[in-house]
Amino acid sequence: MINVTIREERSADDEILHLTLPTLADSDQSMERTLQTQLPRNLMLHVGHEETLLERVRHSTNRTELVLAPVELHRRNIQRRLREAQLPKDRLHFADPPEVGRQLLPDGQQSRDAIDRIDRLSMIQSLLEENNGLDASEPTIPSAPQEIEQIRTVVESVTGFHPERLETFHGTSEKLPSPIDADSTEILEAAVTVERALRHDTEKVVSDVEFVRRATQNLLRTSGTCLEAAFPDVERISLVGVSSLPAAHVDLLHAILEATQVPVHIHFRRGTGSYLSRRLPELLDVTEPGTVVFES
Amino acid sequence: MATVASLRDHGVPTRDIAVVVRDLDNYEEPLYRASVHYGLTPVFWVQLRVTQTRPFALIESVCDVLASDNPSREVLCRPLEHRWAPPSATSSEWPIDPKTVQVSMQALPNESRTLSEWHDEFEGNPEIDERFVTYAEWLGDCPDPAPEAVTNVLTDVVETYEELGLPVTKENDSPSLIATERDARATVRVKTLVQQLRHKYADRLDEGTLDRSWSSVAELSQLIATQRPGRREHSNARAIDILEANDIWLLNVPYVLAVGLIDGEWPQQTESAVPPELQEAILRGDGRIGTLAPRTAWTTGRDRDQFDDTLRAAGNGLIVTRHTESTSGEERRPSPLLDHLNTDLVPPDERRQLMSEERELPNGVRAMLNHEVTDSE
Repeated sequence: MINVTIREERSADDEILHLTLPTLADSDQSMERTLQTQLPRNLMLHVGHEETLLERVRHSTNRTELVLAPVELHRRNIQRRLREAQLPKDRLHFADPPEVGRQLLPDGQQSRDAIDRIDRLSMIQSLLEENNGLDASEPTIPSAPQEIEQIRTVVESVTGFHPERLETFHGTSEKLPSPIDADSTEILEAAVTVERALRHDTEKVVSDVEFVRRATQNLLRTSGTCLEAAFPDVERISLVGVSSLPAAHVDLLHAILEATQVPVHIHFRRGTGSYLSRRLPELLDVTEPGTVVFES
Repeated sequence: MATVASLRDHGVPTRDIAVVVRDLDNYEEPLYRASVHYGLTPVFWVQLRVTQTRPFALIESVCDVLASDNPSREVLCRPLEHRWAPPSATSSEWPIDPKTVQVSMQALPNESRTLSEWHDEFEGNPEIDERFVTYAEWLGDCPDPAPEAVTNVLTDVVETYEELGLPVTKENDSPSLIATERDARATVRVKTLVQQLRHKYADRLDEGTLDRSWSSVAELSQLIATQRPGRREHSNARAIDILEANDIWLLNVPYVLAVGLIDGEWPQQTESAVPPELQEAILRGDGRIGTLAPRTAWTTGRDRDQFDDTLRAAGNGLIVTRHTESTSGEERRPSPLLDHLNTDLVPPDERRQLMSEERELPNGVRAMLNHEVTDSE
């Protein structure tokens, strides 16, 4: 089958806005205004309207915007659009959150290496063999290292291993009907056990995400001076092209907003943007972002 | 791809067309074949499958020979088939052409032997090309697989390939030089891989999780090549861009073809170890649960993001296609994402016209071209 649609006006564009999550009401302008009052003054949310990113370049002074683009090809797309619009390319400085995280670490920590997924899989394999607190005989806990690593990354993305969030996760799990309550608790415990064991077993940094968390803590500890030192010319920070917001990224932005005067823009996409915008005020409602339950 | 070819017939520049799919894994092969059929040069914006390239096969086959105490003649000759050449070689003699490799190999006894026995066989057997002796000597001189030594050996192998093997690909390639480009990219990637291998292999030896052997080296190379999410790569500005929907964000391309709008394929629900009830609670985010970061991968949100990006990227017109049956004949339903779009269906006879020799552009698509003309007036 081939269907064709011709771009006449922007009608088709508007329609997609109604494709939000089934359980949630759609956004409207008054809600967006309410939302903006709940957010830190320096935080700007955009759902779609990517042109505003290009507009900022058009009107920028000689300082730069630090653009966090988690999808690598998005950087090239931005550069292509800048070229097509004959806008200067040096006003944007691209990086992904772990790269930025690393640069915000205290001196002496910046050159530290992180282990990658392959390393973690092999370490998890050894953990399983030693039966080191990981009980793969529990039905919910898979016995394949890949699946255990997946559980670790999901829990990391949801909680960032932040003490309050882990407690909330636990409380939420316990309130679910049996036997889902037990399954959920086991997943949480397995993830924390694995993360703890990995930290114990390696001299290196446990993952790229850990750079982001450490940077978050360092921003608060230095009252933002580490940002000024690492990126002296940056007048604005943006997170672009995102379809999800892992806890570590939220916490990094949280710390920037709390410790510095640098404005932060988040560019959501239209399928998930209004939902994620609505969730953002609560996501920012944690104390000491970037802390973890583990001893460093 | 008939539509793409036909748009080109109507003077639409290549850079004004993009083909988008949700996930290239299943579509790369068929789209590649279709492109070739219609005389188009595609560029896939995906991670290079290093393991399916010649330079990777070369280093892997070298490890295999060195790992074996008694290699068979097939295992022994595989590096030569993959254009192995000695580090000091010149292009007039190396690599050995495939036919000579085959002829010599057939003249070898079909059994397993040690490397020094093979060496003697090469020297004594008059039917064997004399360059095989150079190869056997090189194998005999290869050091024990300490991390440093492994890196040196494999770096030599891949650098020599770059110098002598790659030009062979270029010689055999079509004028578009797609294979050459792919081969060149693969060579760069394999060089990086060899560097990564050095550290990882050393770490594994220290930990005691791998033993010091060439087969461990081969195993680890496979692991690095297949599991490390490499950079997405692309190449040629004169070719048709074929990309995944997650990557089209912000682009502005006049004609976009979205392929595979099938229910269950785009959108697609991903599996998760987290029970659905817990997912739902976190997605809803009541009270303090609101501090937990929701995973949009638990919903079809990301697919909707990507579909919307695809829609928006299309400056003049969007063409969406889907198959109605799977290869095994099962019915495939249209993607619910299409419900929100106001589209014109291309009638079956126009579709047949498009696929025919004449390659007639359907009226709906032709209207896009006219629309552009009207716009510019």
